[in-house]
Amino acid sequence: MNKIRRRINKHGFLGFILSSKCLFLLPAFILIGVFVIYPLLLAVGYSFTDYYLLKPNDISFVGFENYTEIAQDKYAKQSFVNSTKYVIFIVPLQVALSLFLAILIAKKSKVNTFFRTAFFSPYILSIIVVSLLWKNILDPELGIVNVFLAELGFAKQEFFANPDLALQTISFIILWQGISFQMLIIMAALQEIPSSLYEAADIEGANAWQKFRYITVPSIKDQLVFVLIVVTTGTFKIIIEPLVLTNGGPQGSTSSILLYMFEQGTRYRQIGYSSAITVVFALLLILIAFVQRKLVKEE
Amino acid sequence: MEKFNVINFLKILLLIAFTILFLFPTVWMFVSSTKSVAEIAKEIGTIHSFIPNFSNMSSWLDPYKEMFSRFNFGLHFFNSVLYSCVIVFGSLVVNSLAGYALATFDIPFKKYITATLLILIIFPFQSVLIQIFIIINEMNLTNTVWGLALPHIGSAFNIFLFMVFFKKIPKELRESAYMDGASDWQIFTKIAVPISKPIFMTIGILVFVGSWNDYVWPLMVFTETNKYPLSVAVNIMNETKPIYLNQVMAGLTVTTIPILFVYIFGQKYIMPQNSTTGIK
Repeated sequence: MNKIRRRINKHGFLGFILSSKCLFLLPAFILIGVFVIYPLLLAVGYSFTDYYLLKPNDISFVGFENYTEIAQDKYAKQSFVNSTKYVIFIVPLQVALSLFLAILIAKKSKVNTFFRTAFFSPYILSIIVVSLLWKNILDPELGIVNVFLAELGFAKQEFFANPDLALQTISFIILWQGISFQMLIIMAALQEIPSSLYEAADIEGANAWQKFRYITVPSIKDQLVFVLIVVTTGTFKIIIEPLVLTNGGPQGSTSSILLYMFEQGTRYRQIGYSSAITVVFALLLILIAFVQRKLVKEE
Repeated sequence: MEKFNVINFLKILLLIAFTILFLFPTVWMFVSSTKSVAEIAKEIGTIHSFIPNFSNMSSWLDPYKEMFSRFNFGLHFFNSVLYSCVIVFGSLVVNSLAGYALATFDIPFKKYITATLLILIIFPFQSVLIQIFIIINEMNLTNTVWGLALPHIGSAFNIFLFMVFFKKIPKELRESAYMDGASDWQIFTKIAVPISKPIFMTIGILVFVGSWNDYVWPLMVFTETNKYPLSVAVNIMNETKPIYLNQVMAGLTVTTIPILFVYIFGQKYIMPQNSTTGIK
């Protein structure tokens, strides 16, 4: 009996299934299957139906109707544009500022440890805390910023109620929190650059810009690409900040793709339509991942 | 002598400006949580709103006491601790087992399994919230810890991190134990896990912070308000009239303190070292 089992064990799929090794993988496979793969398949399936949450027994196939509706839905389009705007406002600034601050405080010293801790501090606040904190700070009547603006003689600003300002305000808040961690990653990379490189450049008479361009940037390219990827995908996934700060308003001006998907699914209970948005979003993520692979491979 | 040139002076000035920008909200949050509403309103816009009132230290905790009794904050705090612990424990066990199996066993189709996991990392949890809710609802798990925790436990990303770490354990270590008659399970629990404390700490911290900060999913799973975690409770607090700013700030401070401790104690496990967590 044991012999047979050992023989099966050595060979093939069946042997693996019967062995205790399989138990190592089983829990993770079940959970990922049920809560990662199955929901993705469900989203694809539902996206071709008119599934309405309150009528789960009355689902019919509607073909690509949900997708053509997205193309015509002005608010859906707006949420895609908004997400792109978030990326444009946040990603370049976040990468540039994290790099800039990292360079300023990379050198190990007591003063820099203080600055590092100060710059890192927003990271320990959770997104909900950051959102509520800034909601109060930027309050039109009682917020510190507006009281301060008034003292300086400026007009009070409706940071969240003004459609021309709300998205920028949320971008700023996300940026304010996001810089810290990226800065630490870049700083760790900067500290690994051998100082002999800079000394050699000094002897050659290179100026600060040349040193930055030809030594610093090439040495930390990997980390910069990593930061770029993390920040870009992270920014496309924004949902909590607009949900808590503006609920997507005013006039849909701050709603992100995921927030619009969420609203369609929960408030309007249009599961079919919401699923179609999820699928379009997933395709967008695949496209981004594809571009990133190209970017990384080129190096 | 070079130290006092104009550029260095500007640099320090700039650093101080950024320090103020990054610190003032958190300082204001903490300081406001120790004052009365009248004090906050009176001092707003002045430097005093960033300085605690040291002549009145005995009343610093008043807003906390009021907030805890008015919003049943202790219960929500307990909820958050419970949910985070279940998710951390679950994901450490489940993902380390799978990561270990992929790193060391001869598994059929291993290449494809790993490739699938890498692809799954692309899709964030938030993008399939609605579908996961439908599944949890079908399983009758809404308003339960399991409904909240189960979807958060299995993680392709964490399996991948564990796998990369376990791959670095020398083969010889396992083989000699195997010769001595140890089973896979014994090798895992007696050898692999004890020498892998850093990766367990790192992932444990990441998962803890992630679940402590989770907001949208608990909002969907729980309809009974007494089951809300802190993140949801604190938002309700900020909307419940009359709004007392000092209580809100006390709530935000209490929500932050556990994370602060986690970062202080786990510092060396989360600071980025000379690598990009193995992703390229």
